[in-house]
Amino acid sequence: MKKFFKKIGAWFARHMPSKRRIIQLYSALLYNANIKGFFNGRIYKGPTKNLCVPGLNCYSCPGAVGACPLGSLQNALSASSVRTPTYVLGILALFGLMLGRTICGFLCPIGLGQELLYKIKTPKLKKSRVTRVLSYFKYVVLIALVVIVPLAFTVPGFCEYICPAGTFEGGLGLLPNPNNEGLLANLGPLFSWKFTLLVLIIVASVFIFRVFCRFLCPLGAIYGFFSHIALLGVKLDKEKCTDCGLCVGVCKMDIKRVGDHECIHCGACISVCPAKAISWKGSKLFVRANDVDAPLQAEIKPLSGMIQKEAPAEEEASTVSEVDTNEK
Amino acid sequence: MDFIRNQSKREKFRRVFALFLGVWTAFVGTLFILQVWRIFLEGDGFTVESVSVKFLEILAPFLIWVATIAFGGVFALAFPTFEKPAAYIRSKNTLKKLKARLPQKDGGRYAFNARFVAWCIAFVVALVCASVALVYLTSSVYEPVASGGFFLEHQEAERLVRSLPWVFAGFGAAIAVSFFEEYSLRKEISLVKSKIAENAKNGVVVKARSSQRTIKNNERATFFVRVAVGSLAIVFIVWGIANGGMADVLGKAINICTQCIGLG
Repeated sequence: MKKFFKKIGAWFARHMPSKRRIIQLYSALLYNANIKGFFNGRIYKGPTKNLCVPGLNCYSCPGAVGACPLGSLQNALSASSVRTPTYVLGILALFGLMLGRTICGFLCPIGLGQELLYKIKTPKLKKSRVTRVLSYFKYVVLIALVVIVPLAFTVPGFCEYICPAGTFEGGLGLLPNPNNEGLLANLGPLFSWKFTLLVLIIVASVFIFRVFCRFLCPLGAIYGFFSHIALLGVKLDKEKCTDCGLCVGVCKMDIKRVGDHECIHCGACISVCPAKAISWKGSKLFVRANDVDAPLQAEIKPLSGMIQKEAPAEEEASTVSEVDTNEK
Repeated sequence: MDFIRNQSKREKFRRVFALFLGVWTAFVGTLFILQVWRIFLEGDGFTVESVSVKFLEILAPFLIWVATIAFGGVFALAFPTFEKPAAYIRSKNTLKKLKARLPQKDGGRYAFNARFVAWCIAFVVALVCASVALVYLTSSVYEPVASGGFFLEHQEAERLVRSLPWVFAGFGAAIAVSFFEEYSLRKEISLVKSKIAENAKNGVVVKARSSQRTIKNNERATFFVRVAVGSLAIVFIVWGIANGGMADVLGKAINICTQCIGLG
């Protein structure tokens, strides 16, 4: 019996979510803390909507308590003939400087959703030179839909034609509610197109890691500009690096080197580097080095009287916990 | 018991299961898309009744998908696997490090010119395609794609559709040149390796060149850029609050964004 409880405890210790996953879940809940809105079908109208959240989260989601940075940028550019869009540009610059694409790896609910879908066991499409070149398409989306269309046509191009966050959080969050039957009746071809795109992105996320983030997300493209100057994130010590390529090999994003504009700073490469050349920027101030992607230590109490502090030392257990660290 | 103990049998099952789940996922996704377009094409619009009826028609395949994922999850937890990270050759960095082992006068451009020309051609092609795409995106002097429906109501969508083939052509050129670049880099790496071996045979020794000063200069430059960007961000935010930009954000965020949810 004692052995059985010990095994259960070890299983829980191996399958605890990593700290990065916990942060992703907390941020998704924090962005959508207006739980009441999901029940009454009304969006939040409080003062916190003056502020943009760092990640992609539609402000028409009934739970959203902050503004979407991308939607706000497009709206500000649409109104640029009336007012210079400095507020949103300043907010984006501040987020980019402080966090860069760490936002993508830790603070974006859309990224979290894609990572959870990718965990479904199916054949996966591996990254290659083709996916690396296609990753530049998000810059085309940024220029065409986020900059040119709002400036030229005063409509938020990305929100209107592409954004899956709007369709999923806003559309599917509001429309099923009986209080919004009037909205449902006004749906037309645009909704059909957006819903099609949403389903394609969801299905593709099962086979391709973070398909939206890699190929379509203009917010990731914007934060990628700050990759070299962001205060938080992973960094590579070139003096220690032996160029073995394991970090690039284990990374599922289209990076050429750790910390470039495609890196989402998830930290999966830190544990595989044999030369310990990869660490966290600002690690002395904010986080302990190599700590964020490690699984939480579990404490199992009184039922069995067992206190489980570490994963067991057996070879199989250590192999499995290494998988969890890399894959979570 | 044999299945539980035999890893190769489990591996075979895992592959077949993964393939089945992949195909079924694509199938269920297609069904969802078809049902939405059926609602739209029937002409009665999206109502609670029509959505419910259409969803119930595909409930069985959807439930099979959910059950398959649940089973897959339980199976993966019971029999976890460990995949080694795939080796990825970063040719450019490898070449740079190899060339550091050649004497400075001999760090020559063995196949550099071919890559340079190829990327110049790709750049020109991409520039031309981008220019044409931009013309389609911003100009109104052309034949409409369709005479009615979605494209008549959303002319900006029509312009995007016109410009997309040119965007894909530009990407096609870049993809083609990236394949050529990889081939050329591998060729140059083997040339440099043979040169290093030849030098070693002739007793030529090369000292590693120091990069400490470069690293310090880069860190200083990064610091100044951070200070500049941070100051600019704060100035922009304060300016934006003063000129009403923050109020614009609030005004947009507290009203339902009809474009975002698919109403247009």
